[in-house]
Amino acid sequence: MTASAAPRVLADVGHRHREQLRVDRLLVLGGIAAVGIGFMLFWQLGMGYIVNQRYISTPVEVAVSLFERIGSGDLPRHITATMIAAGGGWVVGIAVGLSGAFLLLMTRRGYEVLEPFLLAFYSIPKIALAPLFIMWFGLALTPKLLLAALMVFFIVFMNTVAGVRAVDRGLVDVARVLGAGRLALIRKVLIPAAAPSIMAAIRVTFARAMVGAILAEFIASREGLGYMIVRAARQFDIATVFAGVVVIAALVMLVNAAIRTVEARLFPWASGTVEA
Amino acid sequence: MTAVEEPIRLAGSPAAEGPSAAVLLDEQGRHRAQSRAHRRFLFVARLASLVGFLVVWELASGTIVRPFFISSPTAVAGALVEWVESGDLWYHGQFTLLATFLGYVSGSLSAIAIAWPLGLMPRAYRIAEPYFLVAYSVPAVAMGPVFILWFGLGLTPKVVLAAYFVFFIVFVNTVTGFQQVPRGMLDVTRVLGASRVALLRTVILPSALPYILAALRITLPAAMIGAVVGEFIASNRGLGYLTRAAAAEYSTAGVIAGVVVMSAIVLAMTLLLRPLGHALRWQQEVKVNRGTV
Repeated sequence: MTASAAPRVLADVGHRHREQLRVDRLLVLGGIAAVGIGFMLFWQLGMGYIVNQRYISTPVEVAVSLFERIGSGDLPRHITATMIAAGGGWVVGIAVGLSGAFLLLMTRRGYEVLEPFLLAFYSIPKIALAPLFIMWFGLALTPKLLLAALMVFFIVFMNTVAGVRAVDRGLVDVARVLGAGRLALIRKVLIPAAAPSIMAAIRVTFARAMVGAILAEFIASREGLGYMIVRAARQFDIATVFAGVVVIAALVMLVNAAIRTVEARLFPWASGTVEA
Repeated sequence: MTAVEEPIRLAGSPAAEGPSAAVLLDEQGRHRAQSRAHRRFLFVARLASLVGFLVVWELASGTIVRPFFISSPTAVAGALVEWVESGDLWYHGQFTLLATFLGYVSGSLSAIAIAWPLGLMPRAYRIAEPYFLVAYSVPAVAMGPVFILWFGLGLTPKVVLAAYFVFFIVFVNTVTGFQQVPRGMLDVTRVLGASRVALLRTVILPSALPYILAALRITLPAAMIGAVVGEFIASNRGLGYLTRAAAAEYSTAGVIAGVVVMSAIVLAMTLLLRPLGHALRWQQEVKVNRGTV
């Protein structure tokens, strides 16, 4: 009796549990959809009664502005400009941050000596340098790219240094005893061990590169999403401002998803968290 | 293990006699002297690199590089002294600090107020999560023009922007804190008959607090960056305005002086709030999500 009943009871429980999970998932998905649709409807129909419509636009107007600007080729041009500045700055910042960190770590006491200065430089609000860069390099690509690179540089630099310094001393000692030279030590021990924190830094810094590029465009530039938003704001064209914000958010999310995919393919073991 | 522990106990007790204690004390003294020498070396080396940097900067300016690009330490110091004497520094600084403070308080309070209930209601949080993730990936900077459009050129848009810079970081970390509460402990406390309030006070808050405090510690500088960004985009007072006005006059020394002032404030804030990280000794370091400011 028990021998035949137990499996059935278990199957029953399992079935009920799966059913419960399904209901739960449906509830959450339904909730997400309801909140989204409710918010859009309220924004479209109801918010005008609370605040002046001119200040908040409507979802339809934002969508119209988005498609008009895609159609006129305006938006693709601005997206390209911002992405070149942010992407270029990102790559430059990563390259300089990595090589700078390893150069410093090659010296015996360099890091210890420079530590307080690095912390001081770290506390410079990088955004505050935007006016300086624009003064130096004008309105073209250079100041945007450099500001994006600077936003990236310190995070990559600090995470690489922290990752390498956290490497197990035992591994380093064993590698040395086994006769590894400096380069072999870096290539075979330090880089693999520090890879998780380096990868994490690389992943989170793209959004920062975007911030750098967009802020430079806010202050002074002739093209790019930041420029488009500021110009629309001056003309009180709030629909275009929101369209720009939507595009920026979409770009950041897209690139983040792409980086995650590439990262999972290339370094399945290195999914660390960042100590920014 | 015992072989290592034994001599240490001997060295520590005054009654200890024999060679092993003396050798260890000697070793200890040598170690201390070495670390004193090391500290002295670090101090000298750091001082030397600071002085060297300033001297090279001063000498290079006007000879190798045009002063327009890098100014010089004396010119920057001159600009700072001028700001102090004319009262500009204090006049503009107070608006930035006020916007920073108001934004910090309102941003973190509203974040905690929203994250608290959401962190305790898993299903509601899962419904809200995608929307917060989308809003989170909008670089806070991008909202600057929107807030200025909504709230004008006065203090309000800077406060709102500062609050916005703070909000998501505190929100994300508060939710994480509430989600980190060990389930087993919750269940045990419930079985033992704890009321909701007791549960909150004895289990939930102690394990969530480190995350909240860590977020509060790192977001004060973020609030100031928010206020400064607001001042960059449109304003007629504040440190951001002061810096941008210097840039408009092509005064490199003024811009660098502005950056120095802001960095000093950020550094002071970081040092000031550092004790907050050590306030809760029962918890080890928590991984704090810093966002993209």
